[in-house]
This record gives sequence, C-alpha cells and structure tokens, in this order.
Amino acid sequence: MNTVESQQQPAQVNSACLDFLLMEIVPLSIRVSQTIERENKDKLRLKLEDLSLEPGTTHTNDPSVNELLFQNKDDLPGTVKILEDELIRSEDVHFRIESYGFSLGLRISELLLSQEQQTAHKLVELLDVMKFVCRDVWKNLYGKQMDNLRTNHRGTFVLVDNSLKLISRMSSSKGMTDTIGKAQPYLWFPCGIIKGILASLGIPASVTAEITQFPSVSFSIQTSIES
Amino acid sequence: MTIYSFWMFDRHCNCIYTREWTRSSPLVPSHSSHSSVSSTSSATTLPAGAIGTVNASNQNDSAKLLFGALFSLRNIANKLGTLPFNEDTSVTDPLAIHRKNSLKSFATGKYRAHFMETALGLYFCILSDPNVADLQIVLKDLYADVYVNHVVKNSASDVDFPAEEVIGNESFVRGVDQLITALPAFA
Repeated sequence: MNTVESQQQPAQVNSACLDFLLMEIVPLSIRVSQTIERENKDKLRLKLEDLSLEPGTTHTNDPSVNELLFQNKDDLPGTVKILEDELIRSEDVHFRIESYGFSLGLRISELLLSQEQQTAHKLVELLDVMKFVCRDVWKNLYGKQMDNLRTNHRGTFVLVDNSLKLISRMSSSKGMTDTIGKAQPYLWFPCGIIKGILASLGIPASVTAEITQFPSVSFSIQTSIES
Repeated sequence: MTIYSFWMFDRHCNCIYTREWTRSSPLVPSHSSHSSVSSTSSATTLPAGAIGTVNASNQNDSAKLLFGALFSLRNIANKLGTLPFNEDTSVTDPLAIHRKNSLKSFATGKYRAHFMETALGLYFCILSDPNVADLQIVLKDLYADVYVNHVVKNSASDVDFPAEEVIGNESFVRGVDQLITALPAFA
C-alpha cells in the first residue's frame, strides 16, 4: 500500500510493515468481540448473583478460577489459533472491520480529491466514480488497478481484483477451503473502504466481496441510483 | 549428486518442517519402524505431482538426532572460533553470533548436512550427497525468500510454533520444492 504523497515531501511507508499491521485487523476484531462477550457474561453472572437468595455461596468461588474459563488459552502470541474462533463469522466482527475500512475510505477520498482537482471535476456520473475507485483509489492503496469493471447500467457494478494484496499471501495448513474461509473476513475491510468512498461522494451503496478463485476477489456494489 | 531432504527447527528446538524428496533418504530408514502416532497425524498433503513426504518425520528419532548433532557441532564451532574463549563477551554482545565461527556443513561417507542458523534461532538444514558443494546461498534463499514470504507474511500461518505444530501450508511446501528441485544438484 503506497501512501498518498504530498508534492512537497514525498513520504514512504515500508509496505511490509503496513502489511503486518493490516494482518492484525481480523485477530484484533475477534479479540475485541471476545472481550465484550466476556464482560457481558461477567455482568450477567453478577446480576444473577444479586438475584440469588444466597449470595454468600457464589462468592466463595475464587474469581481468578472463573476468569480463566473465559480466556482463550489458545491465543498465544505468534500463533493464528484466533482465526479458528467462531466469532470470526459473527456480525459484530464483520461490522467492526467494515467500519475500520469505512472511515479510512472517507479520509482517502478526501485526500485524493484534494490533491487532484481535475479528477474531482470528472466525477459526474456513477461510472466515473467507479472508475475512480478502480484506478486512483486502488492504485494508491495496493499499487495496482482493479483488473475488471462490469456494470448492468442499473446501479449494480462488479469490480474484480485478480490478486488482492491483503489476502494473496494467505495459505492455511488445512488447505484451500480453510484458507478462503479465513481470508473472507479480511475482505470486509476493502468493502468498507469502497463504501466509505462512495458515501463521501453521496452515494449510498451496499458492497459485498466474494473470492471467486483465490486470490481473485470480486466486489459487488449495489447502488440505488440508476445511471 | 542429489538432495535428500530439508529440515527446519525452531528456537524451541522443535522440528517444524521436514521434506524428504528421495525414495531412500540415508537418515530415515523406514517410516514403519517408527510407529509414532504424531508423525502420521501431522503429515501434510503434497501438492500434485510431487514425490516424497512432507512433515512425516518431525517427531521421530531421526529428527531429534539430527537436531542434537547440529546443536552440538554448532556449539563446538562457536567455541573453537572464539579462542581464546571468553564466556563473558558472547553473553553481553547480542551480535556476537554474526562474528562467530558458525557451522556451515558437515559430511560423512554417504551424506552432507548443510546448515544455517538465523539470528532468531531458526535452524535450516539440507541433507545431500557428500559431493554437493556449498549450499549456503540456497539456505539463505529458503529463509529470506520462501520462509518470509509464505510464513511471516502469511496471515493464516503461525510464526511462533507451539509444540508439535508444523509448517503445513501449501504455498510454503510449493515454494521450497520450486527452489530445491530447480537446483542443478537436485538431479
């Protein structure tokens, strides 16, 4: 991922470092969900204790013993057991990852359009906006353009990236099906980015991504605007 | 000339990857003699068209013996290289490993073990015919290219392996095979 460089001082970011950072999106999001879930359970337990007639008996338990039951003991540093957690499929994780992308998308479109005034004038029709996503946005994010853009001219667009950098290096020890299952949650991030960019230009849309043939990803964008 | 097998050990002294290409590797007599349960369960499926076994011998005695031999020779080499040996400098200087008299290979009548240790304590070892010349560059490539790209940059792979965990992802297996089978020494 290249940073957008200002004219005065071209700044560069080590792409490997940024890749490593982006790799943490999904594990981080799952951990947040785990923590929330754990806290909710704790609250529920406390409430039940309050309701119970004999609070003394429950308090005899050592809290540290209960604590261990909720913690994920498999989640050691340097391992990826966390991706096996069923929370990876939860809506909670989905929306959290998507919202990371969404706010990034809002900022990126602002940044790109402020630097290239000519581009901003060209964004008249919906198709122009999609081309902007395919060319300018993707080039700045992943150093390459989208490989294909299709539309039905009724507000639906399909953008295809034949090798999405975010997931292209993923390979699970349990085979391709497992790899695709673990790569899928990462796609909510670029989905969020596209959604954010469209939202910043006043286009409400729903964006979904699908791995057609790993690591090829097709993004389906559904807008209510007819062009 | 031929290359028999490739072995990796992590800094917890576990064997995290084995790849045997040949039908008759000198170190591993036969798999049936070691009826280790874990060795069969952890075996990784091979990509189509490849020969030999992947991760079939991680827990058997050969792996342990090889690790022990490498570990001892590496320690002797390091000690001999720093004569007059000074225990204090090697402890206080974290970069001492780069200046050490590091083990590169050892040979017996029937095979040669090519060895490289990384700064973070990973061991890379290739077993080959004794006639095969220095493979240090290949070991370096296996580390800096194959391992980094298919394990470190792979968000679906561990980088610190719990006991009995191995590198089983297919892109790594393919990467190692591509590099090794393309060598003139492999034929």
